[in-house]
Amino acid sequence: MTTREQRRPKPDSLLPHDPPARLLERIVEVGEERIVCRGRVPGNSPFVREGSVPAFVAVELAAQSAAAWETLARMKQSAVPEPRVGYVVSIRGVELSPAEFPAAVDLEVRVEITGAAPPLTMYRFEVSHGDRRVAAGTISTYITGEQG
Amino acid sequence: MSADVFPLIESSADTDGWNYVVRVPDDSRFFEGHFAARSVLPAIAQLELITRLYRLAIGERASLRGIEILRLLRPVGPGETLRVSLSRPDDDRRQRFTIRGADDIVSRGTLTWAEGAGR
Repeated sequence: MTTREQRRPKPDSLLPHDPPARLLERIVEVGEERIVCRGRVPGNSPFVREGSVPAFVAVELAAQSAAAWETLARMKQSAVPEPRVGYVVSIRGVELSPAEFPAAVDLEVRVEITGAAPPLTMYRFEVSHGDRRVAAGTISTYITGEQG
Repeated sequence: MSADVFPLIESSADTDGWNYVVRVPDDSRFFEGHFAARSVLPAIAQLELITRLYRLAIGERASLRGIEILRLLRPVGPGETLRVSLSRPDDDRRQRFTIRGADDIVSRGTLTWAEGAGR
């Protein structure tokens, strides 16, 4: 982990999720329209079966990365913004391959904004395990005023 | 279907596909950590539900390989009863589905299954 990564807020301060639902572990890179994160699906997740996770769980990593980016963006306007509850409202054009991946392995999540009309935002995402892409597609999220 | 995940209340099949009624238990593990202020079923848990029901329908293992579109029209909370309709996959293994609540549509979409999944 780089020094810059260490200085970034931790996902637990950016997301309303708690374990085992919180899959993000750290923020690697943040830009005006993109975020790169790392995470993993813990072995005690209800989605784990015999040590494997269905690839569609990668969509949740993308959603949490998008939520982290949203909170970081609000930090520019407010010093200590509370994480807000957000909902995924659509998932499109997602390719899942392989169909499963192992639980508790490091995953890299790359998310980029492709459009926004707040509180709706559309993101393109890609989730990888090592040099293998697990999932890629588009999600749209709706951020509520509810604090998590 | 495993009774501790989404207990099955009713099921039926016809030439168009399969229909199920399931309950989302108040204490479902899918609500753990999602969220403290208000329990909401994660969107991906709806994909888990569809996967489990489709495997039940065809009696074999089926793997989701693509999400063409999934529209989530409202959140699902603890204790809800859901009515799930699954179409029979077409030649490209695409399947349409709808999840309904008591008097509304919760979500609908089109999924693609891996080769080998039954029709």
